[in-house]
Amino acid sequence: MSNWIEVCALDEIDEEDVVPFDHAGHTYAIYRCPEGNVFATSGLCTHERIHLADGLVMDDIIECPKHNGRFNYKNGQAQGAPVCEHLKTFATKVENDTIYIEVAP
Amino acid sequence: MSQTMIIIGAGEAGVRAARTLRQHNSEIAIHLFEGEQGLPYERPPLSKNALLDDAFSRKLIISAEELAQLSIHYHSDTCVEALLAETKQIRLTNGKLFGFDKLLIATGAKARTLPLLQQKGLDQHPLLFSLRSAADCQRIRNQASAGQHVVLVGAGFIGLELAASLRSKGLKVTVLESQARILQRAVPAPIAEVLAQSHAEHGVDIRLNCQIEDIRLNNEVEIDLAGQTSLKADWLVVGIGAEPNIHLANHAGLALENGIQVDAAMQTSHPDIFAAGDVCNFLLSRYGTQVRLESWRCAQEQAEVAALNMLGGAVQYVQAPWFWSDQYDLGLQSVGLSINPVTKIERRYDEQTRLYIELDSQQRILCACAIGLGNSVAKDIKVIERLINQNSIVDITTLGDVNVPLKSLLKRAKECV
Ligand SMILES: Cc1cc2nc3c(=O)[nH]c(=O)nc-3n(C[C@H](O)[C@H](O)[C@H](O)COP(=O)(O)OP(=O)(O)OC[C@H]3O[C@@H](n4cnc5c(N)ncnc54)[C@H](O)[C@@H]3O)c2cc1C
Ligand code: FES
Repeated sequence: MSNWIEVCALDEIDEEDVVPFDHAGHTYAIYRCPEGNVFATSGLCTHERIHLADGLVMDDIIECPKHNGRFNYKNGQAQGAPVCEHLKTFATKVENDTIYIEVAP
Repeated sequence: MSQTMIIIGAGEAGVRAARTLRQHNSEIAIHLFEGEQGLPYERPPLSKNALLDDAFSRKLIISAEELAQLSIHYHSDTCVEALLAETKQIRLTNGKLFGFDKLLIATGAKARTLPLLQQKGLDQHPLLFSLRSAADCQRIRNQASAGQHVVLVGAGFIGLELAASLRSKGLKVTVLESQARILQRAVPAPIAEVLAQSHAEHGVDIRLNCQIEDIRLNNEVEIDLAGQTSLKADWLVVGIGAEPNIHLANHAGLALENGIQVDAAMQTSHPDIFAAGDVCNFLLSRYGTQVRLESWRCAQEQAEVAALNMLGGAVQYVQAPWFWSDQYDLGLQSVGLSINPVTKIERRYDEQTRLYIELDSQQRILCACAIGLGNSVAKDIKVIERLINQNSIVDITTLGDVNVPLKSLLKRAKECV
């Protein structure tokens, strides 16, 4: 069963940027790539559980604000030390200029 | 026969080198020697979470499984006693010899001691502490309890992080600093000011321009200071910087200069011997200067360069070095080196959130240092790091204007290329 959660308006996230989103005790990071499409991953770095939304988005990569661990936010892949564990990713959709993510029910 | 690579020291540099060697060559034998017991661990938490969080356990750099999977022969609790450069061998304390084709020295640094305490034969006293290893950290954890008075000598990064952690645990903390302000050489004044203010608000007594005349250690600590009344405390931590572990390199006759001297390829004066991390003084060609750093990320980046060159590559270390420190709820980050700055610009978001940028005569950024709550300054420092590494000429008005996002400079620079 799908469980779509409303996040925010599309224009609340700049292109090539990220915002944090909390829901039901979990924290997520919601991204827009340079082309404007929306992506979502779990919100905490897999190295020291730091909020990724304070990091920098460049192209397909989010760089962790703490020790610069890098992930591809489109597929969650960790790009090498200090991060080795991948990020969970979540499906997203945009309807009527509003962003939704699909979380486990 | 396949080549043998030996790495001395399994800190950030040694482990990164081992990983990089294996990533690029599946044939070579890799031996990693470490004097300490246990698996390689990260040092930065030792002055931060390790003291605050009772449940903290070592944060490993690499697991036993990964060492095995990468066929890295890890020799812990095994101190290398001598380096025989001419015959390309190392000797262990048990007399055993190991030959190498290429060697990396990644022996790091050790905490500097106060000459005064050494002269008085007090450098092993049970009330005297320093912080470099997990064992040092464990000693401090065992010692510290709320209500005690601890004196820290030296307001460098490790001293100040310790002050913050011990204060947060309810100890009374006095910091003695010989300079006129904290972090005199490491951090620009407007940034140091925010940290000093925070320490004052938390009740840490930082004494500047302090000259220690004598220290007595008996059942308690007594310190005589020039022109001030004597201080009494329960225990004492000396945090006056670190000195590189050059013993092996020195006896092997390698070129030294505040650490093991290496070029931008991390090669020592011996063509088959490389050095990386806190132990090396390397050529940072971007700034045209030799420098020795004590930085977690730099140690790893240097090791990566060294490893690629040990495999016959021709790689140079060129990027701007990056550093961070955490004290209370404040996060500091810096990037680049302050070498002959011409223009200095402060970008002040609010009292606690500041970015200080230094540029050369052509309006290219040399370095920046920032402070703010949590990781709030990370994005700016990352943008600046890219601007430095791209040699971008930047618009000074934008740099100082907090209403224009710094990232716009990056976009403009991109378009120029
Ligand atoms: C308490 C503390 C907090 C820090 N906080 C920060 C921070 O916030 N940000 C930051 O950027 N940096 C920080 N640093 C600095 C960072 O940890 C170092 O720059 C980094 O560890 C350097 O890595 P390295 O591999 O060169 O040396 P090390 O990590 O010191 O490793 C060297 C290893 O070599 C071993 N060794 C030495 N001699 C021999 C021998 N003869 N035989 C066998 N083994 C040997 C040692 O036992 C050691 O394990 C901190 C350091 C400390 C101590
Ligand atoms: S917390 Fe993200 S890289 Fe360390």
